[in-house]
Amino acid sequence: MILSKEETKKILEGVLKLCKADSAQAGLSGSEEQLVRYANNMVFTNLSKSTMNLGVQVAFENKKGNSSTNQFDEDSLRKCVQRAEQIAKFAPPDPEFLPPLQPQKYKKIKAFIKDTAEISPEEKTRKVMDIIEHGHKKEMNLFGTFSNSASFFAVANSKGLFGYHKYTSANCTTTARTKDGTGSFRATKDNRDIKKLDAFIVGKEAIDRALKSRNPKEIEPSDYTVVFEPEALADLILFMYFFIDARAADEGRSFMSTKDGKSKLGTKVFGENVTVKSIPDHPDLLAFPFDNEGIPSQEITWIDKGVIKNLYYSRYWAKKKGKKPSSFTGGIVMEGGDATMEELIKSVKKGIYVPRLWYIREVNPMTLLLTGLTRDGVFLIEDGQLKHPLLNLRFNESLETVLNSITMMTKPEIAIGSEWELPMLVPGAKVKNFTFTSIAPSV
Amino acid sequence: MKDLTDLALDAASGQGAEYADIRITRYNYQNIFARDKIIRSISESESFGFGIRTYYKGGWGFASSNVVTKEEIKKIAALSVQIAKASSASVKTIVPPAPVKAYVDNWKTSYKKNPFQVPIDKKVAVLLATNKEMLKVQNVIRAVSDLGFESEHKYFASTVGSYIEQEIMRTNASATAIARKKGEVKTRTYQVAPLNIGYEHIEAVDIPGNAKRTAEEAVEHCMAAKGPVGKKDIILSPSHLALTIHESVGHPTELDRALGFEADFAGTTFATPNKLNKLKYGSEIVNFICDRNQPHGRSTVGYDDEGVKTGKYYLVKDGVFVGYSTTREFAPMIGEKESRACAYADSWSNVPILRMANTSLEPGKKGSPTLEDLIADTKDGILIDGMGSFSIDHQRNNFQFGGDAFWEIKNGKKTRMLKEVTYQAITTEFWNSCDAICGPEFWEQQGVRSCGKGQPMQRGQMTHSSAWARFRNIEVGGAQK
Repeated sequence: MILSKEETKKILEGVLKLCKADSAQAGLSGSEEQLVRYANNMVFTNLSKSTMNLGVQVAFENKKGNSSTNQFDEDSLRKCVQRAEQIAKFAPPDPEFLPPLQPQKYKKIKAFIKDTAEISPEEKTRKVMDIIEHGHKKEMNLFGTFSNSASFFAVANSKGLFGYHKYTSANCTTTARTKDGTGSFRATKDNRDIKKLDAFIVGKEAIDRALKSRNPKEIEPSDYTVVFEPEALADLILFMYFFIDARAADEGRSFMSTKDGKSKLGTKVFGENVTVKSIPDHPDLLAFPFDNEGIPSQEITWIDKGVIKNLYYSRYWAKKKGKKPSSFTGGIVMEGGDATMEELIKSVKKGIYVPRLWYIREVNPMTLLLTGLTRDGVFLIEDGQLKHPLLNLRFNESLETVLNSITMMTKPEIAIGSEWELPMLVPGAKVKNFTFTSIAPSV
Repeated sequence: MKDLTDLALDAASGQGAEYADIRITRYNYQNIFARDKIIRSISESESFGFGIRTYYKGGWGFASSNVVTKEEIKKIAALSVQIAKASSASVKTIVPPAPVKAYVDNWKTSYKKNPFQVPIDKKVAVLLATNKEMLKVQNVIRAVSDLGFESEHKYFASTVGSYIEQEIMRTNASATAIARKKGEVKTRTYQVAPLNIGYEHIEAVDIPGNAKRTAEEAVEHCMAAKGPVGKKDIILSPSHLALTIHESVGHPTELDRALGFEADFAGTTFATPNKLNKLKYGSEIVNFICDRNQPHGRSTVGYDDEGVKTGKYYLVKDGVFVGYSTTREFAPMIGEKESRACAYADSWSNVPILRMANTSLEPGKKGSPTLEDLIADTKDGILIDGMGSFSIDHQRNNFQFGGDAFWEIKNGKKTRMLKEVTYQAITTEFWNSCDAICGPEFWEQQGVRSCGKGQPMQRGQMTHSSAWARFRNIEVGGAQK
C-alpha cells in the first residue's frame, strides 16, 4: 500500500504518542509490486503484491527493544509498541546505544513516476507477448520478467525527526536461449520511469547476442586480459560493501586493515584510475535521501584515485572516533575513461570478453579473493576482434588485484549485476592478468 | 477462517477462475543478537496477510495483501483472476496441473518447548555466556552469537475442497569467534542445525559448552599452514556436506530448473529429463532421498503450499538419477501424474514456487566405516568441517567450495590444522568419487536457512542430512595464486 506523506506522518506520530519509553524511533514502509515472469515463450507467473510494515525501536535509558507489525488497527499498533517496551525492560543495557537524532534536513529526490506505478498487468503482459512473438520468429526460447513497483518509506522519532520518500522502479530482463541449447544471453534494463524502458529492445538484444554465442569452444584456464562489460564489473564492485566499515578496519578484522591491525584509511590501495563515490541524488540513479535511522544521505568519495578516502562510520563509531556519521543509501558511481567498448576490444591482442558474471563469493575476505563464473556471451578476443564464443570459466581473483590492473575504461553507464538488483553507474574495463582456474561446461 | 477462505474461493470462481486457492498466514519472529558482551538487538515481529492464486485457461494469477478484511479479500480475488486471464493469453498449449485430493486436516510441528514462551533473559544468558567463554580465549577479538525463532500459522483452502491448517515452529542459533594472531584473521563457527523444533533444541546443543573449543579453533586457524594444491582425498563432515548436497544435488534435481523455468535467474541444470534413470550421478553407495516428513526437518510439513500431502522419494538410487522434486504445475510436463509436494512460499505475500525438500545422503549400511576408520584408511587427505565459501555454475556442473575448518590427514592420522582450503569439481565426477559413507550412527541433520530462488526472490529453508563421507582424488587449492 502506498501512503502519502501526510497519512504516513499521522500514523507515525500516533505510534510515537503510544510510547512510554524515554526515546523512540519508528519506520513505516509500503509497496505495490507487480511482476510478469515468462519461460519457454509463455507467461507462467504473474502477480501483484501489496504490503506495508511498521518497525518500532524504543529505549529506557540505554535498554532497547524492537518490534514490528504489518497490521494497522489501533490494537495492533498499541501491541507493537508494548512489545518493544516489554523487550526493552528485559534487555541488558547497551553501552553503544545512542539516543535518536535531532530533526534533519533532507534533499528532495524525485524518484516516483506515476506511469510506473499505474501500468496494468494486461499492458505488461502484452509487452511481454510482443517479445515472445519476436522470439518465436527467431526460433528462440525466451525467459524473463517485466516488473514495476511503487514504494515509500518514512522515519520519525521522539525528538521530532521526520522523513518521507516515495519512489518507483521498473525492470525488464530477457534470457534468450537457442533451441539447440548451445547459445544463451541475458539482457536487462532498469529505470524509475517505465516509459524509458523498452522491453522489446531488451528482448531483441538478448536474442541477437544469444544467436552469436552459439557453439562455444573451450579455452585453457589461465591468466588473460579481460574486457568486462559494466554489468560484470558492477558485480565485482559491489563487494566494496563488505570492506568499507570503519570499525572493522580500525579493529583489524577487514581487508581495510593492515597486517598489524591498523586501518588503511588514507592509504593508496588501488590503481590511480580507480575512483568510487556514492552520489545518492545522481539523476540516473535517484537513490534514497536518508537511511533507516534518519541520517541524511551524503555524497561520499570512498576511493579517490586509488586512495581510501572515506570509510563508513556508524553513529556510535563516529562519536567514538570524532568523525561525522556516514549514510550508505546507494547511488554508487565508479568513474571511467573515454574509450568505447569497441576500442577496449580492439586494444587486446589475446584476451577474453566477459559481459556477465555469476555466483561470486568471497574465498578470503582479508585479501578480497573472490571466486565466481562467467555466464553467457563470453568471447575470445584475438588481434582486437571477437573471434568466437567460449565456454564459461571459473575465476579466482582478488578484487584488490583487479582494481590495480585496469588499463582502459569506457564511460560509466547504468549497470545491474546478476545477483543483486542494485543499479549502479560503472564503466566497462580492460583488466590485465585476470585469473581463470577451470572450465564450466554450462550454457 | 473458513468464512474468509470460502469468500475468496467463491469470489475467484465467480470471476471465472477454474481453480483457486488461498493461504492466510500469520508469522511471528523473535531474534536476539549478541556481539561480545553486549546484546545488540532483541526484536519481535509479526506479519499477517493472505495470497490468492488462481488458474484460468492455462494461465496463473496471484495477488496478495496484508489487509485481511472481507472487502480486501474480494478485491484481491478479482485482481488474481484478472492477472490469470492476462497470463492465459500467452498460453499456446494447456498442460493442466497435476490433480490433488481434497484434505481437511490439522498439522503441527512436533516440539516440546514453545520458544516464544521461554523468558528473554534466559536466552540472553545463553548468548552472553557463549560470548564470554569465547572472549576468554587469548587472541579472540570478537564473539558473535544469535538465536532465532519463527512460528508460521497457515490456513490453506482450495476449490478442490481442501481446508488445511498448519502450525510450523522453527528454531536456529549460531556462534562465531573471530581471532587475530600474527597478522592473520580467521573465524570458527559453532554451526547449530536449523530445525523445525522448539527451545529444547537450544538446550540440547549446549552453545556455551562449545564456545571455548570453537574459539580455540579460530585461534589455531590463524596459525595453520596453507592448504596444499593438487589432488587429495577429502573427508567431509555432515555440517559441511549439507551445503554441497544443497547446491550440487538439491538444486539440479528441481524440475522447474530442468524444464528451463529458472533460466533467467537461478539457472537450469545438467540433469535434464532425458537423463532420468540413465545418468550415473554418483557411485553405487550414493543414495539421495527427499522427505518432507523427516522429524524436525526445516521443510517438514504435512501439506505443501498447493495442498498436496507430503512424502518421501528418491532423487538418486544406487548412484543412478531417478527422480525430480516437483509441483502440481510442473509434474505433468514430464508425464508424472502427481506432484511430490514441493511448493513453498516464504510469505503470505509471495506465490508458491518449487523448492527442494529436505534432501539427505543416506548413511552407509550397518557395518560401514566409522570416522576413525575413514581417517585411518586415508594416506594423503584433508578433513573439512562446516560451511564456508561456495559457488556453482548456473547448470550446476562446476562448483568450488571452501569450509569452516580444515585438517590435514597424513598416513591415516589427523595431523594439523590447515587454512585457505578449497576444492573444485564437476558435480557428477565428484559424487562418483565417493567411496565411503559412515554408518547410521554418524548421520546428522544440518541445513540451509536462506536459499535464494525465484523472481521476485524468495528465501527457502530445508534440512540436508548425511554421515561423514570420503571422496577420492579431488582437486584442491585451485583458488590459490
